[in-house]
Amino acid sequence: MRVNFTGKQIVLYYLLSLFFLASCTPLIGPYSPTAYQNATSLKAETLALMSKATTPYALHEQKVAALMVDIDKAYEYVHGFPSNDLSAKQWEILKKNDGNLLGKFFQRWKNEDTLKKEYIDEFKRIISDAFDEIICLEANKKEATTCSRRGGK
Amino acid sequence: MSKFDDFIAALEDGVKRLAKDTLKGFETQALSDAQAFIAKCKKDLERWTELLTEGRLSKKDFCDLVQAKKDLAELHALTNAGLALIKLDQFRTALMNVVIEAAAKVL
Repeated sequence: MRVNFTGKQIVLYYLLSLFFLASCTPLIGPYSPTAYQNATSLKAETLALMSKATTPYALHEQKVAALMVDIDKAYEYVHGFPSNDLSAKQWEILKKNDGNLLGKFFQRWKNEDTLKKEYIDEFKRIISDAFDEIICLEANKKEATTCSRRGGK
Repeated sequence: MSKFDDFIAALEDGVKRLAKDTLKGFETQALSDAQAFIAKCKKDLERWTELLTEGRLSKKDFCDLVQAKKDLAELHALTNAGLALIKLDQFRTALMNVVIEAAAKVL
């Protein structure tokens, strides 16, 4: 039996095929419980270590190095997922050696040996918010969540 | 009306409903979120200025904090870009279902 397709049906067939093919690739990487866990635990570790910056850097040098390795691992982990560029970029900004966040704080601690409490407290607020941005994006990949930092203190 | 026209009509109805349900309120939410971020920046800047005046922060401390805040704003923008992509992904998945439903109605 021979089936005759109209022009409209052929166009529709191609449009639907293209649509379904395009729909196969997600626009953003998948939710990862490991990535979420990495961000939340590294936030706590980082803030705890920053609090110690009133004491000499040499006492904490190894802990700082270990923390930065763990942060590198967290970055590499999210970087490995397809379509996860936004999350990877967030980690990249946070950890960058010559950047204005963790790189700046730890370098200054190293250079000056100890830091003032007021400076540490203010910097910690920013780092805490930075981790919250990463956590917020990851949490929303799973389900729509109102992030605590939005409009918060 | 041909089956093709029926399909398009069913699709139009579905897409309108879907856009209303899925994307509703996103723009308002994004705007209020941006305003909250700016308000927080302003509050921080006021506090740092006060600490600088009192001599509890140095000029270098102040500059570091402002620069750190700039990078934080970049992280914030990336989060918002991600939230928009998540919404679009949800819309696209739901749209696929609407297309299938519309096709099923006319077949």
